[in-house]
Order: sequence, then structure tokens, then C-alpha cells
Amino acid sequence: MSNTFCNSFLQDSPVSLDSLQFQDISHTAVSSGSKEQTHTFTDFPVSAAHEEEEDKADLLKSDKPKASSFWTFEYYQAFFDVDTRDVVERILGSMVPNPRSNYLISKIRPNPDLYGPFWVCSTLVFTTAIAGNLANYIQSRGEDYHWHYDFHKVTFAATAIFSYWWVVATVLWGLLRWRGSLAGFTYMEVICVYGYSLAIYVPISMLWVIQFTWLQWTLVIIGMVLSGGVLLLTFWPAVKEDNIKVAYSAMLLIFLMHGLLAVGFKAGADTSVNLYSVFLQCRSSGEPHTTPHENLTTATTIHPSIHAITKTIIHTTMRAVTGTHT
Amino acid sequence: MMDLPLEGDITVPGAPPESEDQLSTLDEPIRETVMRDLRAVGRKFFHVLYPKQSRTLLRDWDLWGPLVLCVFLGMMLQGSETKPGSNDGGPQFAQVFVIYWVGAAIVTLNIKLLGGSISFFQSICVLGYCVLPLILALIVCRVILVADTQTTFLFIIRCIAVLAGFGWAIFASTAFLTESQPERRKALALYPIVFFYFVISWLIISSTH
Repeated sequence: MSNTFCNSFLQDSPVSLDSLQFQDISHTAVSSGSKEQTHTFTDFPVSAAHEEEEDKADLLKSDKPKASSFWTFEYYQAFFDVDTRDVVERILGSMVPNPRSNYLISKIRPNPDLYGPFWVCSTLVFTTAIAGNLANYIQSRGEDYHWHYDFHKVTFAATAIFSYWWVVATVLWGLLRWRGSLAGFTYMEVICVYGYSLAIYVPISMLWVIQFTWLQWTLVIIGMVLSGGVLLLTFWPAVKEDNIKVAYSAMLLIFLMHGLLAVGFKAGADTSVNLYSVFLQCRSSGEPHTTPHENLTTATTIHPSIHAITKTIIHTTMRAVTGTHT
Repeated sequence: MMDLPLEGDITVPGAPPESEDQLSTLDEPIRETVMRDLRAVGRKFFHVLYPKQSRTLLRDWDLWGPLVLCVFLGMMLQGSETKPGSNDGGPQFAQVFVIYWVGAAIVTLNIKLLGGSISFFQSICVLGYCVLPLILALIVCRVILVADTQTTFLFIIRCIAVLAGFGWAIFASTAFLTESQPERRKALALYPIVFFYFVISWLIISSTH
């Protein structure tokens, strides 16, 4: 586009055609009145092109590749522009809260990526499913165990984890934008931080196979504290200038959602064990088991409907929280 | 003017008579057409079993092999709905199908987004063909499961077979897929491949009927 402007200037200026030949013009030489030697944008009237140049400079500073359209492949390629070392650093940084340096500013900027969050979430989905399967197997060893593969659990876990990642991060970003946060966290950066914050649950979910309740709860609490701490430390600068009540409630919201996810994992892992143990009891006794959780009998005779699973999750959570065992 | 009916071959006398046959494969016997494709598929299977860096697997991609492997995998892993709701089975055929193809597509997208220079279908072709060692492990597992009593020893044998298939599949696919990545990103491209084959291995090891 700059060429057409230059050309139009060249046509308008009353200079001979000789000036159109290639000349050895140094960059510092600016003769007055000869507009064809000026190749900077400062001679142009302030127009849309000028605005766009400013925008482009701003975008380059924040390294957002809006130059490619949303529908091209290159737009998304920019979000995968990381090396192995970067990804490893980001994962480790999300597990260890460091009050001295802000996780987002030091590690994620200027290059938020989608590789890490996506694969961390996918890994988490499958490790929870596999850990649930393994827990079943260990719990029912010695009996005539037919290892079953509960695909519903995998899809449920996948939906829960991916929606936690996107929905909560979007809500938080919307909240920051609405309150006019001065920290200037972009959408992609918030998404990136939230994705990496789930990384600590991967080893925790693998350790859940060990069937000691106290160990499982300790692991859940450790995970909540560590990655919740990283999240809180990261987003505190964005809300601290705001009204103190809003700031604290935002922090509380972040921590609560993170905690809910952890408890949800526990309940999910318990659900499969619980369902299967009741199923085994029913099979051995040969009749519907009239336990206090009477609605669970429906879950064992028909394939686990969402209704039954939700009821079981609620009951299991309550049971786990109150510490009673059947 | 009388119209003279024209007859005869438009061949240059002295030219080799087979030249016309080579241009059109329409006249060849069906067996030869089928055998050509089968030979191509078989050649690729051979390359998977003895992975050497070879351009033919990449250049002439085809999806016949992956389709056959996927259908076989789905049929073998399919759970039987003897007792409805007992969950006493494996994944449905459609679930295996979706995991296989969507998984391969996602891994391929990942490789391309990281800057790999391989084309989409070439990558799916390689990923699909390299499931072959896992299929062999599945056959071994099935043979072992025929025995009446399942001891821990047999379970360990099954684990070893699936692990061997898993390692072989990864070795074969990385021989083709990761050399297009720069060195500092090789692990990033490798991890989803490992994950994909791990999920399939898990499906195989957890099917016990």
C-alpha cells in the first residue's frame, strides 16, 4: 500500500522523469519540496493507513499475530511457537508458587501457547479415567473381576476438565476486563495460565490409585494449595488496585473453583469405585441391595444414567466430606 | 462423395505393441488391479515392521492399511452386550473408530502446528500403519486369553506383549514423523504420538473377554 501512495506522490510532483530512475539516495538526505525522496510515513496526512501503522506497532509490541486472519492456519501456528524447554519451564512454574516473580509475566509473556494447556488437559482426562479403572481393579482383586471400560466416565471427565479450563478462564478474563484491570492480561495469556495450572493434577491423579483415603485427601489439598497459590499470586496484581472487596472476592472465586475441581476429581474417582463395589455386592447377594443409598440400586441394574451418576457423586462427596464409611 | 468406412489400427508399424496397454489400466485383469494395491499396502506394513527411513511410505500414502487395522481393532475390542448395563465389556466399535481417527487427526494437527513439513494425509497414513505392532500384541493377548484360568503370570505376559507393541509402534512412527521438526521441538512432537499409542495400548490391555 505504501507503494501506491508513493506513486501517486510521484505523479503529482512537477519533477521530470529523470527522478523516477533509481537514485543513490542516502537515508539521511531529505531535500525540501522533493517529496519523492521521502519514504517515511510522516509526510502522509493522518489517515486510516497511519492508524493502522500505529496499531501494527502496538500489536508487534504485544506480539499478537493479528496480521493473519482468524481463518488461516498461520494464525493458530503462532500459538504453538514454543520449544520443549519453554513448555517444561511453564509446567514447573505452575506447580510452585513464587511470590517474587509473577508467573504470567515472567514465563508466559510474550508468547502464550495453546500446546501446553491442551495436552495437559488431555493427559489429565485420561489419567483420571485410567486411575479410576486401576482403583477398581485393585479394590476388587481376588474376585471374578471383569475389567470393564466405562467410556461415559472418560467423556464426562473430558467435558468437565475442558469446560473448567475454558469457561472459568473466560469468566475471569471477562471480570478483569469489566473492572478495567490495569494489568492488561490478554485473553490468551489467561487461558494459558489456567491450562498450565491443571498440570499438578496429573501426577496427583496417578497417585490416587493408592487406596488410602487420608493420602488421597492430602494429595488433593496439596494440589489445591500449590496450583491455587500460583493462580492467586498471578492474578493478584490484576485486581489489587480495585475495590478491596472485589479483589478479595475474585481471589476467593479463583481458589474456590480450583478447589471444586479437585474435589470433583476425588468424587469422580470415588464414583467408579463406589458404583462398582455396590455392583459387586448386588451380584454376590443376588438381590437388590437395600443400603441407605437406595437410589444406587437403580444405578446398578440399568446402565449408569447421568441421573444415577450425579446422585452417586453427591452422596459420595457428602460421605467423603463427613468421613463416614459404609 | 462416398463415405469410406475406415478400419484398422492406428499404429505405427514397428512400434512396440504393448505401449497402448501401459497407458490404460482399464483392460487389465481385476486381479492385477487389486494386487497392485495390496502390494503397496503390504510394502508399507513391511516398512513398519522394519522401520528404515524411506520416502516411499511418505510419498505414496494410502489409507487402506489404517482402515483395515482400525476395523480389526474395533471388532476385536468390542464389548459384548450380554448383560445390559453391566458394563462388562469394552468400548463400542464406534468409540474405537472415533478414538483412532480423531486421535490421529489431532496428533497430525499438532505436528503441523508445531511447524512440521509433512502433509496431513501422509501423517495420518504413518500413524495408522504404525498401529500394526499393537494389533499383533492384541492377537497375542487374545490367544493368551483363550486359556481357562487367568493367572498373574499370564497377565504379565500380556503386559509385556502390549508394552513391546507400544514401544515398537512409537519407534516406527518417530522414524518417519519427527525428523521434520527442529531439534528443540522434537519432544513436543513426540509426546502426542506417545499419548495416542498409549491410549490404544490401554484399550488393548484392558479388554479381557
